[in-house]
Order: sequence, then structure tokens, then C-alpha cells
Amino acid sequence: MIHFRNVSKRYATTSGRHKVIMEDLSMDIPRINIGILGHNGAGKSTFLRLLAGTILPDSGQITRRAKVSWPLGFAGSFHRGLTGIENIRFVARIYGQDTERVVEYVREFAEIDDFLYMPVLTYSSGMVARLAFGLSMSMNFDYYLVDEIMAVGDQRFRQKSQEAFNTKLAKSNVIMVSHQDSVLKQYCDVGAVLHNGRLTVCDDLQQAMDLHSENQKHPAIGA
Amino acid sequence: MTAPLTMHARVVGALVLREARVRHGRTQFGYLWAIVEPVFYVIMLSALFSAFRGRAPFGDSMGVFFATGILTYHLFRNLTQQLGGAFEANKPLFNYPVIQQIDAVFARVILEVASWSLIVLVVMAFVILVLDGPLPNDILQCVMASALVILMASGIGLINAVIRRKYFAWGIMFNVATSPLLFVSCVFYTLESIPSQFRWYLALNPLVHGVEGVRMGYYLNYRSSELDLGYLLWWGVGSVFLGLFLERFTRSIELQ
Repeated sequence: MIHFRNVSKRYATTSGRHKVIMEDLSMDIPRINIGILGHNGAGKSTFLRLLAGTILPDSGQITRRAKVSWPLGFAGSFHRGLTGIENIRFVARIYGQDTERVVEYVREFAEIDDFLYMPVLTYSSGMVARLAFGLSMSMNFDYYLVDEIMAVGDQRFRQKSQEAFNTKLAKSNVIMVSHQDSVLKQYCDVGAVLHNGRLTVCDDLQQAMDLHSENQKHPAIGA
Repeated sequence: MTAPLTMHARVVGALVLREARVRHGRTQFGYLWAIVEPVFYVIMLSALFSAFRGRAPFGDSMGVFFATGILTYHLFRNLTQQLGGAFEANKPLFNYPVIQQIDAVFARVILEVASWSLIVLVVMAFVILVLDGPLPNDILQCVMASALVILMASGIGLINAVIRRKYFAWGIMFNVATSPLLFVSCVFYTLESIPSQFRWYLALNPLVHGVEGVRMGYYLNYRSSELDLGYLLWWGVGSVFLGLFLERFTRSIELQ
């Protein structure tokens, strides 16, 4: 469970005004697959980062009694001067995992062979993405945070990635931001719509999508 | 949310290993450079003083006198500068929920102190073996004075890092503002050699007590009537607490 208590978050805009991302939100997030909808700039990514705890709210409290992942497939932390293996070992260490187990898993998964021993700067963007996705799959979390699933690699690799992720979802849950309705329908049980600082949770995903479409017709405040 | 201590420890450990690998990774002689710089200063100052004054400001060995000054000054400068940049340099890593920003500061303290210790060993070996300098009289006192400098530099470095959360330009401003420290920290003169009416003002600079404290331990008969390690300790404790306090209450600021 993740608990939000009176959580507010806003950003200063260049015009000196404030953009409200979240206004006094209190809710308990159950162990369920959630799709988050909202127009561009509504604060969906900010919401994910609040969930993860990588940013703090302006006021209110967020408590986590769950292991929350880093953004699925995140590769921005890879140091380009270090080899793939060195980057994998670092992430394994911060999570207290057996480094060799994680390296073996990613080696098996990413299929980039000898490039694992080369600096990341020699990788193609596809290789970086495969490494990052493999690393995300190598550990277990209660919640996987997903900010737009990126299709990685060829048909075969995509299928393999999807199978691995589906296996994870037997025990884990996903909190997902996506603009693709088909992706949301594939993974999510419920929908939550972020609009003008308010989060509306709908028990039915379709209902959330309808609300989102309705919101799109009205101009957003401060956008 | 306060993370359990073991989690902090393993994150800091992983960061230390990563930064040690990255720091001097680009240039093959990276680690060598870190040693060359203080050695260069010691040799240059020794040459200057040989030419113009003929003898060291204290003792028979110019090498020992300048090395104790330069190394202690470098300890302060490197720590404050490296810690100041700890948040920016590691920004992408804070996307991992397990990594707290303060972990990056702790990692840099460990890394800087470790590499500084290595540099001290090499430079002092050079000064003692090649330049025929005397051995230290009381190593424990040298270590204690250095530890106090580490404490204060860590506190000030942490404060720098916190200020740079909001004001990026602070790093440059701090470097400019503290660049005169090389000249007012007894690096190439003794505090006793300063006319007594100015001595008190100079002794307000806490780094003076670090440098003089190290020399007091190194030499058997060094005199420093104004030396007050307690004063340096207060600076250390005060800056560390202020840094931790500021860090705690500015966490909601997002890194630029």
C-alpha cells in the first residue's frame, strides 16, 4: 500500500504563477494495476515520481509500505564511460542483490553479448534500451512504475520482453502512464485521471478513459 | 521516510565504487595528476624560498613545511568543492528510489578522504626520502588536526551542495570568495611570524588552526601560541549540523 495524506504539489512557472499538479490529495493506493490518464503537462510523470519518493510533495505526507521500482527501462543513470557490467553491478549493489546473479540475468536477457564488456558509449540506442529493460526485469518489486512503455528491439525481443513483464505481474502490480488506450487496456484494472490538480479514480478503466476524453474538450487551467 | 542504516550503507558503498571508477577514468594518468599537483606546489615554493630567503620558514626542511601546509589546504579545498557538486553530478541516479541525495555527499567524503590519504602518503614519502625531510614527531596529533579539517570541510561542503540545489552559481562564487584562503591560512609562513597585532585576526580563520595543528604534531619544537583546536572543532560541529539541518528542510527543492 502507498498512502497519500493531504499531498499538494505545484510548480512555479516562468510567468511567476503556479501550476497546480496536485491539491490536497488523500488516498490509499491498493495493490492493483492502475493506469493514469491526463493531458500533456497535467503532472502524470510528477505523480509517478511522488509515488516512487524521488521527489517530495510541497506539503502533506506519502508513506510507502511497498517496494516501488525505478521507472521501467530507465537508462538515464548509465554512466557512458563504464561498461554494461559495471553499470549493472552498481544497480544490483544499491538494491542489495547478488551482483553476479543480476549480471547473469541481464546477460541472458539483453543478448548484447560481448558489448557487456564495452563502455556504454559504444552501444546503439537499442542496446542501451535492452540492457535497461533487462535490468528492470532482474529484480522483484511490489509496484512497477511505467512512464510510457517503449517498444524495444525486433519482434522476437518485444515478445520476450512482454512475456517477462507478464510473469512479473503475477506477483507485482503496475502503475502506468500511457497515451495508448490499447496498452492501458492490456495491463490496467482501474484508471485514474489527473486533471487540474485533482485525481479522480474510476473502478472501471473505460469510465476513466471517457472522463479523460471529456476533459480534453475543456481547456486546462494554467496550461 | 528515513531509510534504515544498512540501506544507506550499501548505497554509499556502491556510490564510492562507482565514483572511484569514474572520477579519473577518462584520462589514463588521472590518479597521477592528483599527486602531481601538490608535489608541484611543494617544489615550486621550495625553489622560490631557496632563491629569495635561503631557508624554510620553520625547521630545516622546506619540503616538510610546505607539504604540511599545502596538503592540509588541499584537503579543505577539494572536499568543499567536490561535496558542493555532489547533487548535480549524481542527478540521474536519484531516479532510483533507494538513493537519497545525502548518500552522494557521504560517498564523496569517503572517496575524497581516501584519495587524499593516499596522496599524503606519496607526497610525504617523497619529501622524507628524496628531499631528506624529518619524520613526524606525533602522527596522532597530525591525524587529529586533519580529522578536524575533514569535519569542517565536510560541513561546509554539504552546505555548498544544499545551496546549489537552488542557486547553481554558488559553486563559482564560493571558489572565488575562498581563493584568498591559500594566502591567509599559514600555508607558507608560521602564525608566530605574523606581527602580534594581526595574529588575532588571522586566527579567526579556522583553517589556520588546521594547518598549525598539523605542524604542531609534526615538529617537536613548533610554537603556536594562538593555536586552538577547540575553535576548529566548533566550526566543524557547527557547519555539519547546519548542513544536515539545511539539507533536511530543502529536500523538496528539485535539482535544476
